[in-house]
Amino acid sequence: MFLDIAHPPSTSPLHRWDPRYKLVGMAALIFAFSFVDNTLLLPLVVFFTVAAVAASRLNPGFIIERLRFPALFITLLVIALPFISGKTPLTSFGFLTLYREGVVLSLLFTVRFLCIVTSVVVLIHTAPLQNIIRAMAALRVPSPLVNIATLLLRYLAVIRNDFQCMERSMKHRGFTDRKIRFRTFRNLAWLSGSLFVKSYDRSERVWRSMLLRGHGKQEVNIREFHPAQSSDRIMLALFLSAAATLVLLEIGLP
Amino acid sequence: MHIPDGIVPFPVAAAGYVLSGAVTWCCLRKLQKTGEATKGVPKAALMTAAFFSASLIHIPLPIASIHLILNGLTGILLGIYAFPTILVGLFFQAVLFGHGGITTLGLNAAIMGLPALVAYACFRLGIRKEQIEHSAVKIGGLGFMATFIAISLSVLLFAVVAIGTVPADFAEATREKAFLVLALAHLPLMLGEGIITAVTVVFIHKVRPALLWGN
Repeated sequence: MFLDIAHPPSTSPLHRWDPRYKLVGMAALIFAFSFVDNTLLLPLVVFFTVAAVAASRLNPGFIIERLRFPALFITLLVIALPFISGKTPLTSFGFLTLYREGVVLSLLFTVRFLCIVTSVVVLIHTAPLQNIIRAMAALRVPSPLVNIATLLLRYLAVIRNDFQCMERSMKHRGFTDRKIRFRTFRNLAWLSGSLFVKSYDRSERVWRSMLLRGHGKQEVNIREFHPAQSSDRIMLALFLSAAATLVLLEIGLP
Repeated sequence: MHIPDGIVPFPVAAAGYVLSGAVTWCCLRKLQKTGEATKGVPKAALMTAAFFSASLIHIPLPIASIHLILNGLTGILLGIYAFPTILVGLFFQAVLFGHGGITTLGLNAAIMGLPALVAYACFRLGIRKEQIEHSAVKIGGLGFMATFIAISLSVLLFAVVAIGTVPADFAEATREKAFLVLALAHLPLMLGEGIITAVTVVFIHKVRPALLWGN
């Protein structure tokens, strides 16, 4: 899934949504999901996520495929929690006891995690990442961070290709990384060191070419966007309302 | 060693953002004063891309091979820029790989970034720029120590956040055991990555000293 973010032309409302407004709206919803602690609100969290997916018109199978890898990180935790956390036993399987509190917590973690990750998938697959970074610049994220992100996005595949070429060359020369000995560590360190030196040299060339193109002489405005339409504002209002509903219910419910 | 979305309480995630925001602001302000804020951007970006790729290197250790974290080396090579670049790198990791999280970005940046700054401080306290004719053994030793400290600190911060703040109803003994298991599980990584960082730092010192010491 490395950098292979597809952006098929689509006429979905989320694809058409101004990235600045989309970033604010989706971020509000994502943080509202993480604010939810009451399990009674979980159906509402799932409903808002499904609504966002429906509005994006992304293929559900594609989204499930994107969730598979991140889900590995919490699988062990949500399986173990019902057996190791809590005080009220529900049932026993031999030496294992299933606790009520653990089951509830596991459910809460699973739903929050899946809904947040799904929302992130929807966000980055309904606008090119470059546009999301430009939207961050428009929202006054400090320019060094935005510039690092822009250049990182541009050179990630290039540097990775360098790395793969070097790694392949090592293997062709008979290097194997399976044996635990100092020589293996030394060769891996030389591989990473060579990659850093190559990247550093390339960064010097990039800086010189930036200067040659007039970097710093004239303000380049990457914050320019078309003026927002009323539909952008309506979408933002909908997303902010959904986020506010969750937060208010979370505070209000016992 | 990244905290995924949805498992820590909201106040903890928000505190992570506040902490990381404050540290990033301090770092950028310091870079602005030294004039490195603009000039250092290509180096920071391309080195972050290199760290991304190099973290795919798997080191052979008992039981299984594990991938490198490289926050110690990031600190040594990028200095103050380490924290902002780690923040951006973690953002990309979260959106491209689903590794880490968006709501926990601040926490993960603190867990990885603060130890990187500590590694930088350790390395620079040990060797001054004016005395770069130091022996390879000393440079390598400091690289090893800085990385060992950085990863230990990351493990400690991760354990405090992941085990200490997850609202699970664990018995105190379970929490203590989890802390111990986490520390022991990362010990081989601390040693392995320490050795790799030490050799890498010596290699860079010999091949391209400007990368280590600046021009």
